[in-house]
Amino acid sequence: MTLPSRIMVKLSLAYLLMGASMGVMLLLNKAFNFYAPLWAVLPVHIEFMLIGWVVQLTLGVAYWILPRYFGKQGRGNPILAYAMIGVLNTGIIVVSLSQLDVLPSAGSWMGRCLEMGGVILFVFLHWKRIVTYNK
Amino acid sequence: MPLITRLFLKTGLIFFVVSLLLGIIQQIDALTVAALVPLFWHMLMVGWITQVIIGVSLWMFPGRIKDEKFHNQRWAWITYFLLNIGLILRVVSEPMLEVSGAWGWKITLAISAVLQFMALLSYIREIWPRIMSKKQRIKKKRAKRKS
Repeated sequence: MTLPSRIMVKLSLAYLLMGASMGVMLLLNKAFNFYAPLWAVLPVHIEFMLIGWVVQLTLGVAYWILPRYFGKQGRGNPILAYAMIGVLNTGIIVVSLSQLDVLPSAGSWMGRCLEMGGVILFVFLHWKRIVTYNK
Repeated sequence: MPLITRLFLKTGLIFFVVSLLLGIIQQIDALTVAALVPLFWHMLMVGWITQVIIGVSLWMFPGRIKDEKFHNQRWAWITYFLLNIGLILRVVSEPMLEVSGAWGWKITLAISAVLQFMALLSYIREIWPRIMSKKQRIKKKRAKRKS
């Protein structure tokens, strides 16, 4: 498994762990109602589980497993792959901090733009790799 | 495809169908059930998507031991049972808690939360060491042969 994929898969597992920790606390809070403000982390739980875990793992595995280019090009420009990881994860963190009111609400919009930037980089890196070599 | 992967995928498919049934029930006013929205989303995202991801990754990630002895796959089996028992307990206890609010349902819901969390810990324990490059895999194999 290539390094950008390993980074993405490990990050996705970290998000799974953090998102699930929030989930278990929310469910315990639902059962025993010990701290009502805890519900404020619900959007972050959703963000971590959906974008941090499911989307990031899918992108990381796709980067590893889709057909490579012939010759030395391999999986394309690795700098773009690292940029994709950086932009996507900055987006997740900015959206989450904004949902927790640590950042102003405009942060949510900016974070979504960063996430979209990560996905656009993913599309750019993979568009030509979605091919068949059987004719 | 190993047995544990087939089980994850088939159980995931069952949750997929049931979650979509809940989605239909959600649209019918006469059939309203308590706590339907979180149940729909968790059966879809945990029961289906997460379970399929876990099943396929156990099969396709590097470093799988092809001998399917329980000992070789114990973390995967623990994940399977804890995740599914936890999710089923949630499906039963969450609507019942909204209807009756009895302590028994509160405790069942709490147990379901802990079981699902432990399942995910167990999955991470299994899959984390398998996230490795080709070089690392070869090195690990050589070290194993030597020992």
